[in-house]
Amino acid sequence: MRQTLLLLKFVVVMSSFIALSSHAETAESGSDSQTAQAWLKRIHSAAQKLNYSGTFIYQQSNQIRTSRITHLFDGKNEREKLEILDGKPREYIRNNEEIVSYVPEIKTLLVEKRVTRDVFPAILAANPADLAEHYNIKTAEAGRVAGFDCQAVILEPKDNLRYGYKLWAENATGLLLRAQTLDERGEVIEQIAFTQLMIGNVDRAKVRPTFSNTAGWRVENAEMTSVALTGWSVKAIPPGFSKIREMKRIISDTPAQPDQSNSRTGVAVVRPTQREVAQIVFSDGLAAISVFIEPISQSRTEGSMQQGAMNITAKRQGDFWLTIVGEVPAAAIKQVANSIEFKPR
Amino acid sequence: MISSSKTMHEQISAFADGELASFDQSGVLTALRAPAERAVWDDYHHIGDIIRSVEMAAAVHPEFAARTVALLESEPIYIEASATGPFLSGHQSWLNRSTMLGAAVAAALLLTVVAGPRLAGMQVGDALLQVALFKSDPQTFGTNAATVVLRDPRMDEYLLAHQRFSPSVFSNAQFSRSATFATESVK
Repeated sequence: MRQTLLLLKFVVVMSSFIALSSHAETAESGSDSQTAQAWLKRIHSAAQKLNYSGTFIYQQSNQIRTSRITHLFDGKNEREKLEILDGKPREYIRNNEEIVSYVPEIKTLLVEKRVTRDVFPAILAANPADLAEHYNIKTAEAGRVAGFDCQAVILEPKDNLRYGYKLWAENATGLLLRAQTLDERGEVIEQIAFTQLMIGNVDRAKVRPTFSNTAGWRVENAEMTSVALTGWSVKAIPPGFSKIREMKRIISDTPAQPDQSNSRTGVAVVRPTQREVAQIVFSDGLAAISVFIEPISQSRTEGSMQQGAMNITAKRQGDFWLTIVGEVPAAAIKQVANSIEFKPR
Repeated sequence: MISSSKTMHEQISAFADGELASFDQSGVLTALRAPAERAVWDDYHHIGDIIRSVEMAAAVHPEFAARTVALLESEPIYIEASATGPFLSGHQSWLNRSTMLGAAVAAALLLTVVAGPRLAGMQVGDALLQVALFKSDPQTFGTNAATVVLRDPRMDEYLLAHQRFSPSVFSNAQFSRSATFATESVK
């Protein structure tokens, strides 16, 4: 009897010990997730609040593209200039929510309201706590990028319907210095990273447009109105993705060979054919899936394609042509493509 | 036997082409149980699909080996320049002709057997180079023949329209891929 009592006490002590240690373990991994989420918040805030200027490259397989970004924040107003340094020159100057795009080869200015928050190094309009439902968020190793010491944070997808990400944030300010998209095997599909960076002490002249003489340039004002599309829905959207935008847009089909002789006069003579396409955009905060819907007007080929992190599927559904695009694995695109429904009212 | 000096990958390649001797087939089938070998099998089929696709202009004719043998067989073979003369002269004795025919066939077989694997190797090598280059271009996924590479110039427009609204931090760096600027006002 006494032995049984001792045994019972032993078991009680042992199980409470085990319970405590496992609680400590989940508390530890829980606190690491909290720490990692805190880093994500810092990354989000740093891009908006700091003054910085630097060059970064975007790399996907054997392609790279170099850009330069300068960002100023005076406590009230944000001003940002993004220049594409490879290929055709292009520049985007943002004042708070308004962006002016400069397209010198066709001497055009496009004025529009900002639609996405996220230009590198800005990231994550999403709440990190929401992201934690679909990604394991944890801290990784310390590193060094563009001469700055930084901390790596990993977002590991919990299902096979999204990619993973690894982010490096500068230690002192939290500014995002490098980001990678990782596939199911943990291999890098694409990455973006500063190669040269200055934080603080940024000359205001750096956010002024390069093209000072824009007399005679065409000015376009782009406006978009959201239209609630009746009838179209996606039944099996990956969990965590919610509809963020729904609209009709005009897409221009341009001829393969632009008219060279006329482009010198600065007037865009080639008038592309236009068709009206509906677009529904879903996002989980890190990636997005767009569903384009248009009436069939000409014969097209069904099929699928992958370009870096982007997967695309095109298929016919009744009298409509569907194109599904997203920075998600092919399995997710397929799932969306197979669950699109149209119930006309 | 030549087959004992072939590597397993060469045998898998031959099996995929239907050119593997029957005594080797059970060995290959056993090897194909392993995932690494299955991956090689898939690769060779993929390569075969690429080779047979319209884009591959430099495809070796499937009758290449047979044609080579036929050409070799039709070539005259001089065993004794002074005594017999040209093969097709008709003055040979029956014994001589069959000997020469046998020698011609043996020579053709030898040429095929020696040159064959090397030719296949060259084919595979070139195709692998193409595949390596191909990977940097838009590529198909999915294994059925119905999957088509979408070399559609309209793709750029969809990509651009998607990237404008995508929160992906990588989107804006690809912003200006299309040469023209899509007007986006709603009429």
